[in-house]
Amino acid sequence: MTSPQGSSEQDWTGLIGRIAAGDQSALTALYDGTKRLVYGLVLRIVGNTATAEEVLLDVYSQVWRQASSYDRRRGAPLAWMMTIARTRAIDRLRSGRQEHQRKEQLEAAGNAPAATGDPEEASVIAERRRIVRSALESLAAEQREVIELAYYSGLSHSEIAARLGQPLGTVKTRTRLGMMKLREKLHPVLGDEL
Amino acid sequence: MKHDKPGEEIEGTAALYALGALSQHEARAFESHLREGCEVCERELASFDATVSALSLTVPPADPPARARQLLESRIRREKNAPVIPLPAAKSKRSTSFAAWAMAASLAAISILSVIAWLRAEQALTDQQNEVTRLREASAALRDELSRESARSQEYEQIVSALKSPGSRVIPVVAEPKTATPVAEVYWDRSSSRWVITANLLPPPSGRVYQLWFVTASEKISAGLLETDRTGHGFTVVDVPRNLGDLRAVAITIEPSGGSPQPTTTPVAVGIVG
Repeated sequence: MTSPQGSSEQDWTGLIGRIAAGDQSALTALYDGTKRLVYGLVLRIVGNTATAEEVLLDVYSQVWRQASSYDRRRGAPLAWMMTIARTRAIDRLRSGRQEHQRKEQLEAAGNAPAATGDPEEASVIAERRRIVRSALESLAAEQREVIELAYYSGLSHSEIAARLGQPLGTVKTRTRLGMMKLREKLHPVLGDEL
Repeated sequence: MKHDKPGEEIEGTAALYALGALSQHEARAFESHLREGCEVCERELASFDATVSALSLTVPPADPPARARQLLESRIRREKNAPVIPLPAAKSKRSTSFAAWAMAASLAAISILSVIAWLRAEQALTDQQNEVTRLREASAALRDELSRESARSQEYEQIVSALKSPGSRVIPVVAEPKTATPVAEVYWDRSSSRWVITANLLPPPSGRVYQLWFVTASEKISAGLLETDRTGHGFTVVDVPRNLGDLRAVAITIEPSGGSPQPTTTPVAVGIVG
C-alpha cells in the first residue's frame, strides 16, 4: 500500500474498495488525500466556512455509505467524489438560501491569502488543472460567464437569464456553444477521466 | 422517441442537464427520455458529464479546518456501529419461496444468515427485550445523524415525523455482503401505516428503474417505484396496506421502466422486517 498521502487514481480506487469492506482507516486515508480538492470546491460554491465544513462531512459520509456500490466503469474515483461534492454543496446552497450571507463571506474570503500551490499535490492533477483552466480561458467571455454561473451557483437557465438580464435563448445558446468548445478541448486530453 | 443523431437541440439539453441548469420539469422529462434508452442522448450526456467533472478542477484547493478530520472519524464510527436490527423469532408458518428467493439473491451475509436464523429460531423473551433496546438506540443515533445531515428539508421533516410517531421502526436496507451500512432506510410510521424511504443507490441502467416490494411469507407485492436522481438519491413515501399479512422484508429490485407486476430480477438490497 502506498503512502497515506497517495494521490493517484489507483490508490483511491483501492481505498474505496477497502472502504466498501468497512475499513474506516481507508476512509480517513482517502479524506487526507482528497480533502483539499473537495473542500476547495465546496467552499467556492457555498461561500462560507461553517457550511463548507458541514457539507465536507456529508460528502465523505456519503462516500462511506456508497463505496460498496461505486463502480469503476462509471468513472474515476475523483470525478465521482467531486460530483457528490458539487451536488451536496448546491443542494445546501438552495435549501439554505444564503445568497446574501454568501456574498459577504466571499468578499471576506477574497481578502484572505490566496490558496498556494500544494507541493504534495500529484503533478498529474496539477497538470489537468492547468489544462482545464486554459480551456476555460479560451472561451468567449459571455460563454464562460454563463457556464461559471451554472456551475458554481446551480442556477437554472432561466434564473441565469434573469440574473444577467439576458434573453433565455441567448443564455441557452451561449451555454451550449461554450460547453461544446470545452468538451472539444478537453476530451482529447482527458478522455472521460477527471 | 429515440433520436438518430445529435443536433443543436440535443446537445443543448444534454449540456444544460449536465450542468444542472435545466428547469425541474425539463430535467424530469430528459430523465424520462433517457430511461427509454436513447443512446444518442446518453452519449451526449456522458461526454458533457465528463466536461462538467473537469470543471471541478478549476477551483483552487483549500485546507479544511483541522477538526473536520476528527469530526468525520466520530461520525463514521457512529454510523458504523449503528446496530443492525436483529430479527424476532420465526413464525410457525414457513415460506420456502421467500427463503429460496432470498438465497438465490446475492444478499448480505447478514441477511441470509438472518433469514435462516429467523426461519429456525425459537422465541426468547430476552431477545425481544434486546431488540427493543437496540431499536431505541438506532433511532436515537439516527436522530443525531439527521440533525447534522444536510438532508433536503422536506425529506427531513417527513423522516422526523415518521420517527416521532409511536411505535416507529427503522429498517436498514443493505446490499453488499461485506458491509452493514445500509443503502436505504425505511422509516416506518406505524400510526399512519406509511413507510418513508430514503435511498442512496447508483443510478439504475438506462431504461430501467428501481422498484420496491413488500415481501410477505407467501408473496411479493409491489410497493411502487423508487425514482432516483442523477446521484442515485431516492426518496418516496409508501402506504403500507394494513391487510398485508405476514410482512417479512422490503426488497429493492431493478425493473424495466414503468415497473413490473412481479420482480424480474434478484434484489439489489433487502431490509428484514421480521
